[in-house]
Amino acid sequence: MNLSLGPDEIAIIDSARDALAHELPIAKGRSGLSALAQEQQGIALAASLGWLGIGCSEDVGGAGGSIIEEVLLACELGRGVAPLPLLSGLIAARLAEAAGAPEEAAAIISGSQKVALVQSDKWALAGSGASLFLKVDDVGARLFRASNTEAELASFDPTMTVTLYPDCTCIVSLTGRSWFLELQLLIAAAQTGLAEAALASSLEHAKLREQFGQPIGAFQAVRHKCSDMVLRCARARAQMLFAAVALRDGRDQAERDVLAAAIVAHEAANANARTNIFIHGAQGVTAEHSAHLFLKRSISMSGAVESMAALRDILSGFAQNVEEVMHAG
Amino acid sequence: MDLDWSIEDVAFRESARDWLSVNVPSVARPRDPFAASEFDRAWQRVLFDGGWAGINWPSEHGGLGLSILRQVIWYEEYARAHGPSFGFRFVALNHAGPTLIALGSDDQKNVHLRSILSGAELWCQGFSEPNAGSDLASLRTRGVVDGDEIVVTGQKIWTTGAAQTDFQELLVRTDPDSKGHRGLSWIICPMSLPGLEVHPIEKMTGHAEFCSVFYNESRIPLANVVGRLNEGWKTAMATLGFERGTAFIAEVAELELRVEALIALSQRTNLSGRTARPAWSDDEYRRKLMGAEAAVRALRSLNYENLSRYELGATPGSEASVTKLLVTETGREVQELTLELAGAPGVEDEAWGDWRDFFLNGFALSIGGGTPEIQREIIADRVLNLPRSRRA
Repeated sequence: MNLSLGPDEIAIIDSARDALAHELPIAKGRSGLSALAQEQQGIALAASLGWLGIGCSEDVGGAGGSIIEEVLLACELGRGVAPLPLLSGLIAARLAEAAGAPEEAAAIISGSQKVALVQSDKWALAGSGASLFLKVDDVGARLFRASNTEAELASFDPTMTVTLYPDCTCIVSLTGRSWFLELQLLIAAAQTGLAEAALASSLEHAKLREQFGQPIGAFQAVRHKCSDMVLRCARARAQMLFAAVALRDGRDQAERDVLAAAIVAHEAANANARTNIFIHGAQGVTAEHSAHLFLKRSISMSGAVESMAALRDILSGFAQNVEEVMHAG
Repeated sequence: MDLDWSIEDVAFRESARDWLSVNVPSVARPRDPFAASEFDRAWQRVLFDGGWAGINWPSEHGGLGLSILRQVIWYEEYARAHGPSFGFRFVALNHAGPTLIALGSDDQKNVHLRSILSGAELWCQGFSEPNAGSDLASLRTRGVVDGDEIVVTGQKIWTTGAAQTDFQELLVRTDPDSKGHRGLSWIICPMSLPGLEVHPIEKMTGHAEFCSVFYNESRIPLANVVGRLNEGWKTAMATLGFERGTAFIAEVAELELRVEALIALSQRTNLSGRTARPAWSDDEYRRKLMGAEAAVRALRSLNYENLSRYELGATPGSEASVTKLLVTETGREVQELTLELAGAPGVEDEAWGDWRDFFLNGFALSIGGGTPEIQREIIADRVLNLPRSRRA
């Protein structure tokens, strides 16, 4: 039993964090960079570093890693508010390879195909300029190729394009619940990273910003909010790691652990992103500050596949058949 | 990373499970505090004789000398077997024992550790005072060094089990010119001492194991100081660190079982005023319960993550306040969910057992060992390094 990260795992985290901070920083709220441009830059960065193939075999240009490496990368993607196609691309590349379409997998990994995520059969997240569309539900995963293009719609999240879901042809299809669980876990990991980034941003401000003659981080109203952010991060991170190992090893109740990871991670990201704005006061409501990027991304990720209520309902489906294990006394 | 237990760990788990299935008492722990303390001593003796006491305590003092992971396995199996709660054994096993192991003299270790493990000694904690609660370091109970004795005068309060236990970890001010956390000493106080008066305080649960203790020039041997004279704060912090670091494994294992029980019971119990369908069919109730299920799973994972670090040599630090606060807040969620279901008028189901105590005790569990607000302060100070809000 060991939930401590090893040196190889820490190396993945450090290099991803570093690359995103330098190549696609969120400072200044990424103002001046359209959502489409952010997505394109993100895909180029991912292709140059081999990120999208981290879980694929070397035959298609991948690194042969497991869901663990994908989760650790996804966490850093969330921390850096990296574009969504980097998450959907991870799953899509592996799906294509597993379904016997190695050329599609290689194309995704090399960055020549942009993968959008289909939401509610109606919207395509990161749909602008996308050629492939990933659809995941609890019975399986499918990859579609668009036969037309749809115009970009007004997106709530300035780091993500949204289009209507275009007419498509299915090119890859696999059944099984694991795709759904893996996607949920990668999104949970991204939300965990985002929650940690929002905390870091709040701490930086609370230590520097002075009012009433002292740093605002000396006021309990601020300190206790920050401590609550720590609690949310701590449990989200621990559950993310546990669920990743449980899923990799096919452990008993891995489904419940993944859904639990999703629930606590969405809570952490949503609550911390909101708290971070209040800690920053008026600066937090400007477009120039990155606080709104955390907020909007946390919201768009929460609804990306299943609502918070739906996640609880799915978890209850797994939970309801347990044996009565204890006398409450 | 892996979640696999070694073959030896699995064998240990199986033998713990087998032993517990035969030896866990079939009668409930009594409500009367004196009867309960006798029950606790007898049960600890059974554990000791069975070879299950002090799993990660050093073997030269009667422990098994095993890893902290084995301790985790034991707690998991113990919860699953519905073993009796710590009761009055808590302070001796989770505070005093570990503190003596870390900072006690050889004599202190020889006198107390084996007796704690065998159930011969129960302990209580004498930290809080009427005017020193959250601000523990402002305590005023005086200890005057007189030859080879310390003469103690003052009052402690919220002492669970003062009337039922044998020794107390007593924190007093031994340097009269000192203020705050300097000048304190951590002393082993025998509860049979002349000049010591114990007054019970009834809690809202109806139990009267809470006490106030008055010291009237009580003389305690100087050799009973644990750690150095006037450096008791260091000793006390070590004590609280132990509590916050490892004592929650058992509580989380119990919360997991409570949530599983609620999942099962809510499928055959109606909410108050709703006669037609079980609570499980109520979207709001079921979703709240699933939120608690997720939170409890995450706590188990957090414990495992922390333990993995301790296994690699890290010592429990201020992150223990994170665990403590999460455990008590998640516990409060589970308590409220239990109340909502079991608290419906007219519910007299055997399966609900001690739900009243479970619900009402949650408040005491949250406040004991440092209120939620104090835990947030500790996290802000020591985990986040935010500027201080309180005067030292």
